[in-house]
Amino acid sequence: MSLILSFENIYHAFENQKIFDGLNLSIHEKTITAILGKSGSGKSTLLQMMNGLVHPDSGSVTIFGEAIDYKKIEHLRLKIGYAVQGVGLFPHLTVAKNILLPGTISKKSDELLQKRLSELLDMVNLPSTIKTKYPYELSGGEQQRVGICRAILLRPLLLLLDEAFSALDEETKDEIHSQFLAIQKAEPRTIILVTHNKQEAEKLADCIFQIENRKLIKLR
Amino acid sequence: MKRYLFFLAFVLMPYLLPAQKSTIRVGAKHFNEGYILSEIISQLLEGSGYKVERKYNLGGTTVCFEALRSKAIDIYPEYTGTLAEEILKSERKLSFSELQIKLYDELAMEISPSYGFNNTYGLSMKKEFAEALKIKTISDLQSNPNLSVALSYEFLKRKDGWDNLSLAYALPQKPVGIEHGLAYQALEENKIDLTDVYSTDGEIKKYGLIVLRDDQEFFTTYEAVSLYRMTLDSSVKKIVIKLSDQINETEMQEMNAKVIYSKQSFSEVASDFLHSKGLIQNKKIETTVAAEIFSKTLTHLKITFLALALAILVALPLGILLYRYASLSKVVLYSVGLLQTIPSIALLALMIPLMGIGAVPAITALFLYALLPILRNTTTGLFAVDPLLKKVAGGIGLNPWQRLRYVELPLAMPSILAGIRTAAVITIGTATLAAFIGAGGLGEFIVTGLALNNTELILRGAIPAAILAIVVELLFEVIELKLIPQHLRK
Repeated sequence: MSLILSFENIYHAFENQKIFDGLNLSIHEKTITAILGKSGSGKSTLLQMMNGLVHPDSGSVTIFGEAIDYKKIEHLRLKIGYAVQGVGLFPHLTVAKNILLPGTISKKSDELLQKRLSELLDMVNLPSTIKTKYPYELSGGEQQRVGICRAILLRPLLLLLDEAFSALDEETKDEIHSQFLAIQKAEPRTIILVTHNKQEAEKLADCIFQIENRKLIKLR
Repeated sequence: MKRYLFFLAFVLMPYLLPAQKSTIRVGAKHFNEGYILSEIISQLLEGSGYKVERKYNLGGTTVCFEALRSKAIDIYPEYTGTLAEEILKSERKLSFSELQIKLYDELAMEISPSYGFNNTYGLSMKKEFAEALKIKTISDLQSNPNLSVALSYEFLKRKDGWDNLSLAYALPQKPVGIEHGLAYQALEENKIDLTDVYSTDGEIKKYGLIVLRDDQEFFTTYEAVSLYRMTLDSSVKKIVIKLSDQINETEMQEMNAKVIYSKQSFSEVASDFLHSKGLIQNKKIETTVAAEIFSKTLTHLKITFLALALAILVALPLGILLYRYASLSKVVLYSVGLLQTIPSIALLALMIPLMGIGAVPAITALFLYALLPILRNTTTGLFAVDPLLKKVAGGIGLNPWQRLRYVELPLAMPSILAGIRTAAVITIGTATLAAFIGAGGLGEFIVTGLALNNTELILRGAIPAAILAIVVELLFEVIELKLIPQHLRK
């Protein structure tokens, strides 16, 4: 299995507070990796280093076999899916437009996008009537699924999920977890998810890391 | 895309309205007689086939003269005494030919021969009373020391007022001060016997007064003439010279009274005069009140939309820039805010030395006013977009320009539109003041109405302006309906 992402000797501080102190991490293709940590431990920051939203103070980030190039970062981000807690759906866009936005800006043909949209909605068990609705009209679980659809629209090689399931009630969470695993079976890809929930990590992930003392410790 | 075209069409609307052809621009001084004389010149020129643009409401002598010098107007009626004192700053009285020579040599201006009347200070009394006492001239007053004399405060103070007049004529009366507006009523009710007037005041006719002859030529003469640059087209000069010696004092008094007391329009009075003198033949096509309101509303809209469009074109990109470079935003917003604190009439007045009169300085002033609301709402609207959404927009691969276009601007749109809406309503209101510097529009009715104390005329401008403001409010409702999804509307 080839290496998708590696962090070497990452040092990072935020407002004079050391967050990472010589952190290392390697992620292999088509695995699901969970990163656990208490709040404030830097889980989200670590994830945002993977798509260049945060630059480390020192150390190297290698992604898809190349050192990260912050000048062409938008190009890279189109290959990385990203979904966050609270979903981050754009309130002024319909469900269809929200999901298709990464495709619209990368100038994919409309026909192709519509086909992909139907496929994705099928995959997460959403009716096609949802396309013209606005995010405020959806339940929390529906919003979460739309967020994931948007993140994987362009079949990203890498999918980053930042507490993407944490705002849901237990029942909805269970349902989404199983759909998530079904998607992974249908379209296997490398996924890194950040969570504070150890059970969730154990249920979903192949590898589990924990942030402790500004470094990563492998639990599984 | 359609919604952007819709927006663009709205912004470009003023450019699509028809432009005016090159014409003779006639100015007017801001008082009753000034309007009548200018309207006579305008209709005389129109009668000879010229197109005329009326630039009335130019305030006093200085503004009119500056407008003529800066070529914002081509001609306006002026008085010889005023030219000598206020324009040429002459220490002594100038004869008509001296005045002509000085104007030509020093200012490259020409005047027409006198229209035939002298609008100077005069002393006036009731006709029957004067006849009974056999008083015809100011000298005749010497033999009537017991007349009760009440004079305007200005006349009591002026160098060419009572003090020197009574010395020159050795007058024995002891005058008291009276508010000029009340003096006619006081004469009518025999409370006073004599007061000072302008020799062409409409009241002289209305109250049956006579003006005593200035037999020692104490008062400066204020012959009414047309003033124009010497470069004015000679065929135009030939036409306006037809007015020479056509109006005497009594005729001017009658015309003034017709406007002030019979509430006839300037246009009607001027037209009747020109016909009675055979100076124009074809019956003037009376512009109806509705047509006049419509044309002024159109001008008003044009000024407003141009100012607003410019403000949007500048403030929107500037607002985006300030959002990007937040450190600049305080300084710029503060400076633009300072502009807003200048009273609008003062800002308009400040424009005159910089840009002259007319539509350009008015649009500039209105543009400066419209900047702040748009700029502030654009910047705050963009800053107020949920930071999570900004982060996600970056995270899913939108570059800064795409983030602006697909996420930040649409989410800031309610705030931006509210800013433009505020600016539009402010501009429509403030544009009524633009008439003071000759930009036209609905303000002309208001300014003229104020000068003549004519409420009907004021309302003729104020009501359409208010309706315009309401229509614009409704228009923005429609634009919001098109641009903002319902659940994001305020």
